[in-house]
Amino acid sequence: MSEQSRTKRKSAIYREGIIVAVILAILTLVEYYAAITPPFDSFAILMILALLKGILVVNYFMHIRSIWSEDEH
Amino acid sequence: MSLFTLGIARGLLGQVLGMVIGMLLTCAVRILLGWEAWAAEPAWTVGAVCSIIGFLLGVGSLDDWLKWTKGIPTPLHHGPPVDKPAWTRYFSVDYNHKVIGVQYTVWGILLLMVGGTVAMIFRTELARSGLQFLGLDLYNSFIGMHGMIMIFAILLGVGGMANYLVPLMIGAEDMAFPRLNALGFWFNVPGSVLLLLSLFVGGWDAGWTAYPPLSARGPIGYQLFFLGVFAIGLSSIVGSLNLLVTLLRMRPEGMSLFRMPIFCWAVFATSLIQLTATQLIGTSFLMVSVQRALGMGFFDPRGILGEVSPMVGGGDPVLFQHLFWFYSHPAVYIFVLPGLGIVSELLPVFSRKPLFGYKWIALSSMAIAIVGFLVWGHHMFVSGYNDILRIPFMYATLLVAIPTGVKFFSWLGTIWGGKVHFDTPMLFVLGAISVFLIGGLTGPILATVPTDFPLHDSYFVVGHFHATMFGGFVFPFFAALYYWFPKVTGRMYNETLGKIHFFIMTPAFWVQTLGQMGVGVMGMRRRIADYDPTLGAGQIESWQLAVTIAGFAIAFGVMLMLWNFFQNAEVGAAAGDNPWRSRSPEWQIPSPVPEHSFPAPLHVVGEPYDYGLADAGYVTTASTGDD
Amino acid sequence: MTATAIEHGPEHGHAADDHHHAGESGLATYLENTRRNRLGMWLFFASEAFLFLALLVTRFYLWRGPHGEVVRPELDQFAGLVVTAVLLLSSYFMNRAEVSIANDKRTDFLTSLLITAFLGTAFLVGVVVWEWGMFPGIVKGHLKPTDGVFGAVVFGMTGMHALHVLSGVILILNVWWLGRKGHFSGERHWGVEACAIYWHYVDLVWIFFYPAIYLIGTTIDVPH
Repeated sequence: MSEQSRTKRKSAIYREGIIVAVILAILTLVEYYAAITPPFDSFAILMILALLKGILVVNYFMHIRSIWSEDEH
Repeated sequence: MSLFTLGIARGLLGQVLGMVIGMLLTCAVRILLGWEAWAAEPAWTVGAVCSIIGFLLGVGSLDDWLKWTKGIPTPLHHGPPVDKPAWTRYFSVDYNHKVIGVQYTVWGILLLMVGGTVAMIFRTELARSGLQFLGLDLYNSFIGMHGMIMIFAILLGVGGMANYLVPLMIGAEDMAFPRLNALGFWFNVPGSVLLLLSLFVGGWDAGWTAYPPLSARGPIGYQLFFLGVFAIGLSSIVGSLNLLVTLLRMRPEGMSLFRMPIFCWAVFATSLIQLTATQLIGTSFLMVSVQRALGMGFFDPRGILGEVSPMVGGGDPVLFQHLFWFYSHPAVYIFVLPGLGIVSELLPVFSRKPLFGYKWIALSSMAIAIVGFLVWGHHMFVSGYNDILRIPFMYATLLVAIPTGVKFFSWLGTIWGGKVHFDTPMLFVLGAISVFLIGGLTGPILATVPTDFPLHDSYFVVGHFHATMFGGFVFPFFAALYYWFPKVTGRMYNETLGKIHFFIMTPAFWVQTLGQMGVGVMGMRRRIADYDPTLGAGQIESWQLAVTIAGFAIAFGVMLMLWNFFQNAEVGAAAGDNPWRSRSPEWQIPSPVPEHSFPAPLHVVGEPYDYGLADAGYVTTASTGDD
Repeated sequence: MTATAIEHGPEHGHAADDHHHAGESGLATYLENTRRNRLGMWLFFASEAFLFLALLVTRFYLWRGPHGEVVRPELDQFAGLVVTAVLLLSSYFMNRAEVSIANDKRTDFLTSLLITAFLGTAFLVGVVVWEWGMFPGIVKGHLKPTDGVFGAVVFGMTGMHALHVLSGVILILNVWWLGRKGHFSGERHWGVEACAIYWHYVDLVWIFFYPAIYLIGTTIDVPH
């Protein structure tokens, strides 16, 4: 994290967290309403929405890239 | 020095205390809820869970983590314990991978002996038709017990070889997570204890596969059996995780993946399976466990809508088979891949030739691991699942023959034209190839749907399975024991006794496996205590007797080996650092291996298996220059 | 298999670590150890993923209507949405805690951790009291564990997830307590990172469990 913090402004990192959280909240609401709106309540659509949320969490909250990047810790 | 200086004694005491505390806890909760205080099944189940924790606390495997939660630093202690005799480290928590490897191996051999003894008991029963001395329930518990104890023993043997050898082969100081490594071993002890204890609370009589609905209604022994498997499974998961990180992050400079000793590739593929698939056997057993304990009907087909449609809301026992075999089929590759790795590792040493097709062997291990995930359904051809599933599972299963064939031809290519030395380890490697060939050739017969139908659940399957296990694990494991015995102890075993062991065990095993297949074709079913003496035109009894005698011969051979090791571990002839003239890093350092294995980091300068080529080095250390 | 006890616990921020290569500086060793720990943690996640996948497979295998269609039992949709939102919010605060310690902002770090732990506890209470109806005096639940496969799967999935949430809350409180004692720094905070990615992982599991339990399939009436 500290490597990142040197290059990025601190407020930008905080803002990134907020933006991701807001997108996740919106996607959750979309999920909820899709499930009660018949043509959109299919397994595929709901799973794709879940997958999108999952990718956001894995990428921005869990920093999956830090497994293989050497400079960032 | 009191007995409780030994970690294992404290652990076992902790296990007993944990069991008692768990039972009292259950009684207390039941009294609070206003129920009858004692109920055997919940009490034993909660007791067993607490007993595992009790053991780990008692043995001291969790000490460092408990300190971490308080923020206390825990520098790693190297070397034998300071205030106790050096040998006590083998009976207590120790973080050195060489000690843990020996612990795994010895515990594995102990279980191998227990499982073998159980097999000898029911094999004696089967030598004649009719029931001689075993009851039906006990017979059933014994066959399941033989299966599960042997699985434990094999997992421990695999763990022993991997833990001892992998860090040495890649020149690492130790495993990536030494504490996790120790925890991984110590899970096995309470697990084995629970498994043996289950015999005394009713046993479990539906075979090692524990299919519901039988396992959902059987005796209390099932709960202890499930928890024992849980403990072993946790050991598998943390052990494989540790090996993967070690292999991925701790290789020395210059050792690319394709320059690792080939055994490391086998361990890598094995660990990938162990890390992931093991969860499935845990999940499936947990589901049966909660179905028994809390009435959660995962596998209970009685529906809830009754008259409307009896199937709605009903569980499905076939789901258990899917979940169970998703682990238990890849599990056989966990058992055999390290063994096949040993074969590939030893052949070049004793043929004095480069390993033929290194990359192909390495990738065939990965291919077997990956394809192994897609073939579980071949255990279920007659389970009543959807017919169309049979065809893809059949073809996927037959596909396994391709990477396995790659290994066989690479082995032949390695021996071809080599200066073969027939020392005991090499003999066992050749025995492994011959036995695995029997197991391999009978595989497609069982993988093909039409031929599987009449043979399913027969002794033919038992014969096939034992051939794959002996060829894939037992023979290579024994080869490894003979081969690395000088490295571990610094002493040489008795070569003559080793050869006698081989020449008793190998023909005996051929008789056993072919005999088992023979009685299977005659109509003998697996897992039954008695059979009709008129089967096979009245020949079956003599075949069964031959199998039993062969079994006893194998047991005698194993005893011979253990006696050989026991005799020579302290007083045998000094072996020297590299009696086999191997190129592998672990043979370039003294025997027995010192506490800090390598005096300096390794540098890899060549290919691992360039035997017989002049001036072809593999590893150097900064201190010795070259070798 | 519940391997929740196996995560690599919080590491002491200031203490000397095990030196694998004595010649290297302390920080370099710490970074190399952190890389190993991180890979180990992710492999642990990969392993656990198979447990949760098995539960998802069980759900879609067993929850079938009379004609083989995907069904689900009638559950409290509002409860589901609220606990999902609570867990998502907790994930945000966990991220905030991690970013704060990386920038050496200890007060912000500790506050965010406490909020995360509080929200995690709220999630647990929501599931146990509201959805399970463990205390029928407060809220009457919709299903019992014995209600065929519907009860079994709902309680199996939420139960296994709740176990992970519980272990996560304990881990967070432990990290908070250590942080208050002055452990962790912007340079050395693997303990916080481990705790954070574990918590996000628990959230990730719920991201897939929520639609599987609450949203997908047509509702079916479960008689008691």
